[in-house]
Amino acid sequence: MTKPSSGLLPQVTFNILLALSLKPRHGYELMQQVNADSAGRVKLGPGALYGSIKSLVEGGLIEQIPPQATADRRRYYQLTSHGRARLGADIKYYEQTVKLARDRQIFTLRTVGGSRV
Amino acid sequence: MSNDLRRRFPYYSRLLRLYPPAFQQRYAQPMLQTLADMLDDPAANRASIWASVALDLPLTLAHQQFVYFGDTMTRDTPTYIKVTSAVSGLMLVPFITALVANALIPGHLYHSWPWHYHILLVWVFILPALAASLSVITFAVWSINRWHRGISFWRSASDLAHNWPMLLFAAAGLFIVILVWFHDSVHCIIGNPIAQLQNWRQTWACIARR
Repeated sequence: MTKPSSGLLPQVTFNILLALSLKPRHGYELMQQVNADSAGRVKLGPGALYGSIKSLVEGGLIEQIPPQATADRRRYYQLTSHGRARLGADIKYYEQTVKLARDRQIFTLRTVGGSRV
Repeated sequence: MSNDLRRRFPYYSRLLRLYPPAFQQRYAQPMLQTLADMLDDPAANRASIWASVALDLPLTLAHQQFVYFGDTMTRDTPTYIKVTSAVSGLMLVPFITALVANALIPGHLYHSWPWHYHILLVWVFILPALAASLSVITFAVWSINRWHRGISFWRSASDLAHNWPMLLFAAAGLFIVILVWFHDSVHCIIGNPIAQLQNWRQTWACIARR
């Protein structure tokens, strides 16, 4: 199984990178996409969102698009090549984990009287 | 920070000033813009947005301050402050340990060796007094060094990100010393003359035990 580079990304970080994988987004857009991608499980307030963005920028996983490159005054963020590679590694790991679970028929197993059938 | 957004959210923008300076400078404006976008969304429930912001703000504020204090301690705090703070903290450990132990098994420790007069005097009074003195001296040295670099005393005193270990241990040490000094049960050990006069029966009993 593929090993992620240094442990798995935390849920919120993973969802933010996933939301930025299609196109650069500004804060609110990012919040909505994370909420949609996680089926409402990950809800971010402004403080939590920008706290995560700060860590991701410092970690070199995302970067801010220079303000003059965008038409409005919102700040847009995009994945860096390192961020894309890191997200890819985690997705690959999850794919392999899901495949393993399918091979072991975890999704189709039912229990009858305490024993698996 | 945009004036329009500041005018629109006067209280929220003021609360954003409580974030660490670097975070505030970089992310206060985008946070205000994001809040405006959230509230301008026609599909949004304004009450639930404000409820989530009311929860988000104190939690992330505490988290960012914690990170900032930790980073400042690791990167910017001079080694002598780290060392003296660690020493001051260690000096308070016997008092806190004894206090907790005494609370867990009340009364049983009074005849044990840590409550022997000379040992008691060390952990109940001398060590906290030394911890407070060391922290106060370190704070004075640090403030004077900064003053030579043009940083005022008040700015140093209010710079909690740098001075918190010194202030914390100075305050804790002084608190213990004051608590002990005016506590009836130890006045004969400490030698507080006012308490000795006021509680002469206890003083006599205490001296007789020694």
